[in-house]
Amino acid sequence: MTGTQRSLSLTRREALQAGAVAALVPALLQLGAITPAEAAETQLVFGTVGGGWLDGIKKIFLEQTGFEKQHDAKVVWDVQADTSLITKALSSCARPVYDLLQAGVTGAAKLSAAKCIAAYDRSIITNLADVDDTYKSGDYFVAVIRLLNGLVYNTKHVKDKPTSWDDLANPKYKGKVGIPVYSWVGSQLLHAINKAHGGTEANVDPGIKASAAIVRGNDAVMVQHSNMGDQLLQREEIWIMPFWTGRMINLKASGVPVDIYYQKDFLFADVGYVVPSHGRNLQLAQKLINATLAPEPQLEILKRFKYQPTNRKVVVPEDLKAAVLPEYAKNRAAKIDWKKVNEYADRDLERWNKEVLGS
Amino acid sequence: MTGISPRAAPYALSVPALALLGAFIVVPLCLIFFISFQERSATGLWQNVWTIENYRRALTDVFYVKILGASVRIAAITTVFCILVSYPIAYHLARSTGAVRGACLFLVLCPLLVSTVIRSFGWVVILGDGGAVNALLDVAGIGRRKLLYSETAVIVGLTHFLVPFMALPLMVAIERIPRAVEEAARSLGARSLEVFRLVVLPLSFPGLVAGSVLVFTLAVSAVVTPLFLGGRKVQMIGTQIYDNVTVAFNWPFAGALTTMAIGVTVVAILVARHTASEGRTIR
Repeated sequence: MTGTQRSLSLTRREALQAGAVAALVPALLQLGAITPAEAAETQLVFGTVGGGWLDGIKKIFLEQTGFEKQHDAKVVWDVQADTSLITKALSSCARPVYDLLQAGVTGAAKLSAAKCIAAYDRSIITNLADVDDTYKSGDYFVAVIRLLNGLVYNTKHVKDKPTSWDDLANPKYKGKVGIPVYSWVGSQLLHAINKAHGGTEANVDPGIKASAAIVRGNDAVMVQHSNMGDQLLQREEIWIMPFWTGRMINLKASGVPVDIYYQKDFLFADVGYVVPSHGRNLQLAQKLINATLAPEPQLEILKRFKYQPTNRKVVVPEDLKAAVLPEYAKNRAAKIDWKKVNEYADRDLERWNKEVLGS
Repeated sequence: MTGISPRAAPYALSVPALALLGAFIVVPLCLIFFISFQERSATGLWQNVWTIENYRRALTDVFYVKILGASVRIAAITTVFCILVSYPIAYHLARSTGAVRGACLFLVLCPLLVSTVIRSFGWVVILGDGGAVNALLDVAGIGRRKLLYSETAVIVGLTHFLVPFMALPLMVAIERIPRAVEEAARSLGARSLEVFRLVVLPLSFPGLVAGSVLVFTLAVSAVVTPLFLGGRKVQMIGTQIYDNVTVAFNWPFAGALTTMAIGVTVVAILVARHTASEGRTIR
């Protein structure tokens, strides 16, 4: 073989060796066994949901705050469904795959009960002082945003303003009702409906019965995620569903005839960031959480997504007042003990699948 | 080769492959099997208390038995549709040459280049109330139908995804049939359909069995397609496992359901092997 030929061809052994190296390197990188030579800065593995939310937080929490430059850090994103984030954090409790991850109150409670997340260090997350206790769970969770979930309805087709969860079971809207799937908001929804019908965390009979009347009785469309909810409302394939305020405002701005009403025992979802107990960059992760709680990024999030900020120093502009909870709904939110809910997660899922969805 | 006897060499050479299989298939499966005999933990993922409760629940609760039955039914129907769609494709691929073959092969493999999620979204648009299929039905005077979020939608999506897994083994099997055999049948008066039924089908039977096993196995454990196209109202064993892992955090029960699904797959493979050997005996 001449030198030229040698440089252009590979033996089977060389090809196999190249293949093995190509397969092993990403695997070892993922496991953290090796680090790229140029990666002198600290890597911060951030677990989050993706889509438009990811684009927004990249811009607002990192680019606009200059966080990476300021701390000589590189944020590495791991995009997952929110339930998958919690599952991954639980299964990697002793050797966490994340430095920080997105969580709701329920997920954070689960991680805390399993001792997989650390208490916040108030000397690092100084902005905690500007957040009311209503947005906090223990010393391990604080909401960065609060997503309000009322009855979003098409004003063209739904002439009588909906006033309670029972409106979703109104036969007038048969086939035109949207319900979030259980793995998305459905599990929380079940407990809100349950409370509205006199149930408790331990007794979900009323909630299951009322949910079945909506899903099976009224042939509800199961909505997998927010974007799907947007599309179904836009195309008028559904006329009414429990949905986020921020989404409703953006739909309305794009010409879709929708409005929202916060019924008794409406749902809200707090979204924040938690820090795995055995994380490699505990301090840096908390510095990033502190940045997310500062008034400026919170205002940017409000402007972009129309989600309610949690830092009391944020001055909500007049044209964004619709994004925050109106006066009439102040004491209407369902009061749910998510720690207790977690104890019955297995039972509730089975009952939802059997009695609400049916086989 | 020095140091290894010629008799031991084949075993030594298989060590890397066995090590990979062991590390990435056998060990995780053993772990799933182990977890399936543990108790659920209210705080963690499981607790080290041995129990057969997860199997009792999975095997005696009519709900889960029905779901397993539905998964097998959907997988079987998908396999039949894949066979019907794949035979003409595989035959054409096997009998064409050059650029045409390359282009056709690329088209068959194309669906595999797109993620299942994206593909499923495509079908959501096509089968939706305002989608292309309903528009055609409207034009044809049949009227719009609720196609999405049904077993039909799941079968359509799975068939689209799994056709390459059927077409490729079939193509290889048909390629091995000499053209002369088909020509001999024709020269003896057999029509095209008879050539297919009496010559191509029996001789490509091993490819059909291999493809069916692949398609059935992948369909019975599908998660993403039933999630998106079944709208959660079509419940399959894969979606139950997914929910128990990520929503209920009941890994032991998910492990028991997984073991059940593996059991069904193993039975399917055994049936296929038996059918294939019967087929050889008959020929």
